[in-house]
Amino acid sequence: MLELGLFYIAATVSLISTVLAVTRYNAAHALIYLIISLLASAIIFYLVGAPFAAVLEVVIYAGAIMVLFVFVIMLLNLGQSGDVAEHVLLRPGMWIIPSLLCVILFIEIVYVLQSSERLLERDGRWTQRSRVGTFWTLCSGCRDRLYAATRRSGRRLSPGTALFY
Amino acid sequence: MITTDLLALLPIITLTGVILVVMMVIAFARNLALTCLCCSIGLALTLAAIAWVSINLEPQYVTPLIVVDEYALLFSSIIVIGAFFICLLAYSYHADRGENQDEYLMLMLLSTLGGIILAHSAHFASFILGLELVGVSLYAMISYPVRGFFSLEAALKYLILSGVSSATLLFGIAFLFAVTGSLSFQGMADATAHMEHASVFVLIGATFVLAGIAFKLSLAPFHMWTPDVYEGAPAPTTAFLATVSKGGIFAVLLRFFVSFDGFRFEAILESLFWVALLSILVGNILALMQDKIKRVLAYSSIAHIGYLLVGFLAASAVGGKQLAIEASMFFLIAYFVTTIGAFGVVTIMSGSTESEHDTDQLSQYEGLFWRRPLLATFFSAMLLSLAGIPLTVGFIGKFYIFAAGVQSGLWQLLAAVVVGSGIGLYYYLRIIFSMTKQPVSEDEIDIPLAGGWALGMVSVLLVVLGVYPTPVVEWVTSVARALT
Amino acid sequence: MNEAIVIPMEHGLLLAGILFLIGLLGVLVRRNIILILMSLEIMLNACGLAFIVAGAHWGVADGQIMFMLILSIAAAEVSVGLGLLLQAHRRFGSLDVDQASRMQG
Repeated sequence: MLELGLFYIAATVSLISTVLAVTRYNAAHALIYLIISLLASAIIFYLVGAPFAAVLEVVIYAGAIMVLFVFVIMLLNLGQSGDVAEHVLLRPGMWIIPSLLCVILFIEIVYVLQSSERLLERDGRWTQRSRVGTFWTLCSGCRDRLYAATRRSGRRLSPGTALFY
Repeated sequence: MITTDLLALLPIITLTGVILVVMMVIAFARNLALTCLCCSIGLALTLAAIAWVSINLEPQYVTPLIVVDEYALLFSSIIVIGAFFICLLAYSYHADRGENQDEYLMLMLLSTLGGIILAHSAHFASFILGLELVGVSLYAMISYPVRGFFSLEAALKYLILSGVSSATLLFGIAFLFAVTGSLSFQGMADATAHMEHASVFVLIGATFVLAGIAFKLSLAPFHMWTPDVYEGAPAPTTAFLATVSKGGIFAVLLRFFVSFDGFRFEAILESLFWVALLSILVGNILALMQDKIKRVLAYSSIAHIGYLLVGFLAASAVGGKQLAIEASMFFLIAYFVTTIGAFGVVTIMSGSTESEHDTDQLSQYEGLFWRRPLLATFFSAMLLSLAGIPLTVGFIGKFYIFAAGVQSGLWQLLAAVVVGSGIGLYYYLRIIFSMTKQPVSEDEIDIPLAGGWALGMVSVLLVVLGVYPTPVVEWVTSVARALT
Repeated sequence: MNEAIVIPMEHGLLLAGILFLIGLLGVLVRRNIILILMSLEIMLNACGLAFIVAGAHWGVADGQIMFMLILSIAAAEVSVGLGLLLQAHRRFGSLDVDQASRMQG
């Protein structure tokens, strides 16, 4: 279960750094937090079995695209005055309504993801995949392992897929 | 890839080749007339390739991404013809402005290529590819006038809006992909075929996708900055934005819904119903309060996409599908002809000014009938077609939508269409009346050759299709039959 | 090779959803164009994450291919966006979108 632990750690890091990136006054600080968030995403990609995507995330996203931002921040030479200007632009009160809207959306997504299993089971799509074992209903705790087993045995290996695994 | 695959891709390959040639031409000779010539010949060649493919080849999939069938070819030809006229208009617009305007036409061809890919796409990967090809070239086209403030502002707004909508769309696609495990339209349809009601998961995915598409089509609750973008962008870009990009996106929307059979999900239809209703009402009512022609046309295009959505929604009724698809396609053709014509007039009016803004104040059009009778007649024809007066293509289009709506019993929406058209008539006539007033300014209005001819052809098309629409109707009918 | 590990898809999608919403919040609240572009990046990256997680769940490569597509889209969009931003800074003398907004809408 080490991997699972790593996933949650990376997810937490990514969340915290993204929140910090969005709330910083200084653009350069925001950028650094964004890079940390992207690196954490890369770890998650690696954990879910997409090492190539993880490499691309680091090389292109955190490497190339973020460097573009760095260049622009350097070109504009904002410095202290930019910081001060940003304090004027970003008043705390402005967060309230958008945050409320986003919290509503967040609750919806949580609801959907909570109910997804039940609904998909009724639709017969995912249950089909889990029919490998009759223990399915009995040991829901082993569900994840069963998923993995199905994936290992029944994975369709197209040439494109073989390239990645 | 076998030979027939390559042959089926001929239109796309031709246009790509033309873009490369144009790029080289610009590199060696900075001559706008030459570039425009290459672009028009290239678009004509693409159209010929489309005709050849449609005559000689059977409908087929080329890789899972691209499907070449009558439907794709119909939309591609509309898009290419539209781009051809806008190319001529853009030439006239830019010819007098000096500076280096050559790349504008190349960007336009790139965007057209994106539109064609959208029309051909049967997979979300090609959908996104086409969408971004259209979008990213448009950012540059919008901000093309280097001096103006408004164009830059419009480009920034469009960039942010389009970025958010792309991200929303992608997030929705990711949800649908998580449920179905497939990214092709057909694969998604198969995976959800047994669903009577959409599961919450599908629903939220579809909602995100539709919200993204509604942003791109600038439908009512998502129309925030559209009028600004229309106003700030140079007139030919506005014409392009209002027609080619929206036509391509609507092509995908219709194809996705028909193959996914999204019409069986009540909740999705319900939300589309409200979007259509709001677009019609908001578009028309806000258009009343504008005194700039471009903004009036922007709001009226919001309303027109709303009408289009009525035709689209009519496909939900049992047995009404074919008529509804026909109606939407015909209405889209009518919308293309009329909108290109209307913005074409604005383009020609703006071509001869020194100012960094386009000529779009209502007062600048006063007395146009006395100063330039032919131009004013063309403009009146376009406005009457937008209002849906008989003998114009706009009338046939609206009539078609109405017939489809009646057959499917969408009474509330039809009422909205009637109310909207009534309000519309008022502000279109207001523009026409102001053109008949005594002229205030005596500025000379030059009518450039290429743009004038393009506008003339569009006007002829408008009347011919309005009087004798049979060939296009037959074409549209055969395509709709093949699709359903 | 690195075997796909058991990470529940729901949790991956939840993470992607939260990141997406944080990005959206950033676009809505921030007035500085650089920060808006960064928030757009966050949103696009969240979409990529969702695709990868879903692709891993189904054991198909489509998710990763979409991720690469998103990567290139993000790069294209940001380079054009930053170009416009430099122009805006030169012409408006500020990075505030409200100040850049002169049309009524």
